[in-house]
Amino acid sequence: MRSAIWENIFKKQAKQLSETALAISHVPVFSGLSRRELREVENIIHQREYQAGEAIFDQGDPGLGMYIIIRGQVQIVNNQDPDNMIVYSELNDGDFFGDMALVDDADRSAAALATADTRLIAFFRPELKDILSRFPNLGNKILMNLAKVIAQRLRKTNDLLIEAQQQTAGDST
Amino acid sequence: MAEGTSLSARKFMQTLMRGSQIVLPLLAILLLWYAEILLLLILALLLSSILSPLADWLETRLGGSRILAVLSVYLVMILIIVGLASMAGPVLVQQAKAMTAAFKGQNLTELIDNLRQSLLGFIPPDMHQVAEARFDSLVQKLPGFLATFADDLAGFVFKIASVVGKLVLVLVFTFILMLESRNFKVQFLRVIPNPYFELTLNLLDKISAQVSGYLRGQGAAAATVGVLSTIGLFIISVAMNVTIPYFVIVGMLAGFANLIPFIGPFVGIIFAWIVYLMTPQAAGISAIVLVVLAAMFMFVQMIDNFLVSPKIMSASVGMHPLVVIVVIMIGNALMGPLGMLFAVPAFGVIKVTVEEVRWGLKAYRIL
Repeated sequence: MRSAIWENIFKKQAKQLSETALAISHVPVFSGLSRRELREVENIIHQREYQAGEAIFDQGDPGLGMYIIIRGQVQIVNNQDPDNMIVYSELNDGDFFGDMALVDDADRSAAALATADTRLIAFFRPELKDILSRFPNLGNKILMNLAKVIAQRLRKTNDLLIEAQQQTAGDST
Repeated sequence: MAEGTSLSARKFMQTLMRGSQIVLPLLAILLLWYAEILLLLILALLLSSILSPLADWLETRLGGSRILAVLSVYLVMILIIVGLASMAGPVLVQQAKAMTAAFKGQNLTELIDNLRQSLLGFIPPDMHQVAEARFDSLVQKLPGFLATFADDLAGFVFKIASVVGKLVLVLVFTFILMLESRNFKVQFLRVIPNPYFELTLNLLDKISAQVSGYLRGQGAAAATVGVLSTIGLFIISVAMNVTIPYFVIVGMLAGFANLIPFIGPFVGIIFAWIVYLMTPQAAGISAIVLVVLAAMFMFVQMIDNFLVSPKIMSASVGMHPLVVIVVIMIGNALMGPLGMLFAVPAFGVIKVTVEEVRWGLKAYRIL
């Protein structure tokens, strides 16, 4: 005979993650986090809604943290010259940006603009510090993930640099 | 697009400024109405910012339970207060009683005579007549001053019951704030318009770090000076075989006075001198004791300035001496002697906040 108590306990355990927690779990920075850890992160992140054409942050603003796109579209641009806006990348659902600002407080190197009505999750340095002080294991997991993301980008940049150098050497001979 | 954002931000600020002409007076009336509750809330906010790091530290060690961590902080706080009250309390009460008795009735004339004799010992004989005349005119003013002081003190005692009630309220507010601070922060930021979201979050983080660091630093420095001064006074009284009554009160006063820069360090010296000079000494009054007392307070100040404060003060709240004097006068006008004591730390908190807001407005190019 099945006990109603145990059934209820397991039902609670198997409860689906919220849309926000699910979105967080797909971001490399939060990969490998347990359900409990994801809920802990969910409790301190910020949810924001932006209208099409609204700026999320401007180039030169103090960098504070990263954004994850739940729904919508975001362009990362250089808009220093209003007549000649350069679009670096276009991001969609599940993509993230601004993650470098989690580790240093340098100014934003580009602006982020919502090009459609967009719902974002914001995870910032004060929250990361808070997690590190209260839940060091969880904080370390996030930091390791962040280091992996940065290492991958560095490797990619190295490859591109080598490729460019080889191309320059080939052109000169 | 950034231009558009800054334009919309500017438009928002202009609307805010226009709206503020109506909203601010209404807000001022509301604030005056609820000033007391607001003051208690601010006190709770400051107390929670001091205690939160301890709650965070305990939360990790208690399996992530915030309520258990906050309850533990309260338990530790109660234990410390009870411990201190049971250790220093009886001595403090005894010394306070003795001091009150000394300042009343015939004892006072006796003490004043002692002070007169002690002071005349340091003045050349040909100046005695002038000094005595000055002293007499001062003494004539003293009963009036003491009567006012006694009235203030009696009023304060009657107010203690309501103070205890308010203290309980502050502790309840602090408990809720420590428990729900993250939730409150998330809810508060939810209503901030997008152009000011990052700025507000950045400011909240910086201000809370600076203010809690400043308050913890001030508290730790005051406690250090208070404890060291008390120990110093006790050592002097034993080593030099002199009577320095109420040394616990003098030490504590020196600690509290340390909250006031420039002036604070001298309060301890002057109070210790008065207490020493007013007390009949078996071996007579000695100038060396006065010098040693001053040297001890200076030494305690050096320990605080070179060893304690640099390690615990996170924010440098440099203030011009003139500003300090004006702030103390404002504190006195608003809240009397207690206002004088807490005016400088309160101004320090406001200064740190204003500086961070100014930084934020500049960094996000709103100003």
